Amino acid sequence: MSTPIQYIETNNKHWVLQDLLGILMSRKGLTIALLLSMFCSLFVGAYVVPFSEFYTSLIEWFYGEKGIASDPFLYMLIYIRLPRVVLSVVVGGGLAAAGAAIQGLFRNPLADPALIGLTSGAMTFAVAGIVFASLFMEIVQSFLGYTLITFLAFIGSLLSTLLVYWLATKKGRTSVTTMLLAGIAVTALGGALTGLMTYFSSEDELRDITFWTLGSLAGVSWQMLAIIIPMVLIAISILLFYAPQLDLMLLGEQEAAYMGSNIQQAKWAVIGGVALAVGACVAVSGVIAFVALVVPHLIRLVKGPRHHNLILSAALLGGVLLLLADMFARTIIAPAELPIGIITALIGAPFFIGLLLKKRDQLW
Amino acid sequence: MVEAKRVGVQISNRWIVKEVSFTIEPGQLVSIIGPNGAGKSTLLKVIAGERALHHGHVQINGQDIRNHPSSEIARLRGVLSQQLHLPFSMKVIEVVMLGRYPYRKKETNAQSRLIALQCLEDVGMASFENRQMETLSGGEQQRVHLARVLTQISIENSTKNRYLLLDEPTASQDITQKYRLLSLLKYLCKEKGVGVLIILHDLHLAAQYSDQILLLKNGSALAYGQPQKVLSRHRIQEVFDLPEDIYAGTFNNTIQGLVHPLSFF
Repeated sequence: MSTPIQYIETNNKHWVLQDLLGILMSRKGLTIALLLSMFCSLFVGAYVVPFSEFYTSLIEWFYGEKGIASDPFLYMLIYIRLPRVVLSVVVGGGLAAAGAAIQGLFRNPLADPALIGLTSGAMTFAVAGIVFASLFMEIVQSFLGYTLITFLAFIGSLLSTLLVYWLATKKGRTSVTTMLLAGIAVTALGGALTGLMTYFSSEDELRDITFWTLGSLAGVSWQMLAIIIPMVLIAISILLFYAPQLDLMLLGEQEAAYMGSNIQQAKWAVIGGVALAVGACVAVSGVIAFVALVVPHLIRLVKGPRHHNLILSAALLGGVLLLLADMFARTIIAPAELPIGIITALIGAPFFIGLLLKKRDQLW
Repeated sequence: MVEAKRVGVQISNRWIVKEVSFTIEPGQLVSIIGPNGAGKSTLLKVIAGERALHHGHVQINGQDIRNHPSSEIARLRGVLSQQLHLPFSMKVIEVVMLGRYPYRKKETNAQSRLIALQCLEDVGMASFENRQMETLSGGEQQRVHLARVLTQISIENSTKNRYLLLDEPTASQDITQKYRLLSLLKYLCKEKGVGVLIILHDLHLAAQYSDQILLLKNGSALAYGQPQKVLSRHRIQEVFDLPEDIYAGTFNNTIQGLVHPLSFF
């Protein structure tokens, strides 16, 4: 009679692990993880800020003994590191939430905004914005310039979402093969156009463009954040509002319609929300692939695919993962830094291959 | 009661459905039979409120379906299609709770869950609550979806005067699964007061389980009434273009009933 007992024991271990994962992946757990990694992230980098130094500086600033500009620690923390930490959270959260929603819409876990060409579309339009705006006027570095580029990135991702969706979906059913092939086509077109535009660009713009294609969170200012944060928040709110409809769409568009939901409206709203989030993220940080693929998948594994929780949790976990990846990017070859897109691809590409292996039977 | 009166549907100047009338009483199982291309699915979609009709009218419980928003119709009738494939792994209870979508603004999660559990019990799947959908067999998955559709039409734990519309649910099922499903539907009719409209290809099943049969060909209703009257040997041979010898004798037996309608449940 030893076998049944053993079976129960191994089963128990399994449950302990599941419970731990469950707590970590709950919204409370993720919020705590996010706050912790934001805090750590502030003090790690090419220039290590000892916490005690920061504390004395903060006290001095609080009592008016020193201004922010005159204290190097505070200046660096508030104008360089804090915006970057906030940006990581916003971009990671925005991309992961957009990924969760577009995977629900396409009914496919392989739909990553970067893989199906949305990021590429956004990038092409943003690069066009940089190159052509500077040909005519010198406003690119100004506030209006960022708004313009962000808006163009939104239009670019919207157009490519519509194109890919139109190509891949027929009678409410999305073909995975067509979706990925359409993504390849859009990415190729975007790459070609971007390449073409580099020949019209000046040296400075070329650096900007390269930086974009690899993805980076460096060099962000509070002005840029002021544009990006509201956009991402609006996008996530739209996606959350349509979360129940996304749940129904898991059954297929026809079923969702039979259950009394206005599918057309939900579809366009979700496409708009995803394009808004992706456009905003690409405009500031370039192509950061795979975050939107890995994060929703992890949440689904532990918490299931209901979209309200999925989108919120993905936004939190996306923030955590990008913060960790960025910490790594900043420290591993300090004082230089790696483009963060390289790190997310290093983690994400093997993950994608694993997902392909798992789904191989269904894809044939 | 669902009442379809002289329903006509036109696609590019051709009538796909012509002047079809029938009713579904609460607790009745009505099947639509007929060869491919007879307009069966189109007719079902019209009754479901999914497709516009160009002639006649459809009323559910005395209200014309065209005057009601889709969210309201969703509470009166549920539609079950053939095999559904879920893109992500989901728990049985989560799938069934999706059925409460039309009531999401009025009730809490806990209330939805109770109703979902009740419906799972009604289809005999109560112990499957926490299983993942992909670990179930095709027949079991279908019953979960049936529970979801029941959840959708349950108001205060009652499904009286509510209707289920099923489009060829027995396609690609073996004979045991077919009889199980039909027994279950019959049970829901008799015990829960649900009215069922079902498209069937299997004439034996239709003969044994239906209260009323609607025989369609080229969009017209050739016959409508009790199985014994509709499924005459002569008419079957004519409608389905069958040679005399295939169907000789078969229907005399089945109509009397080889299998008791509730024996599989």
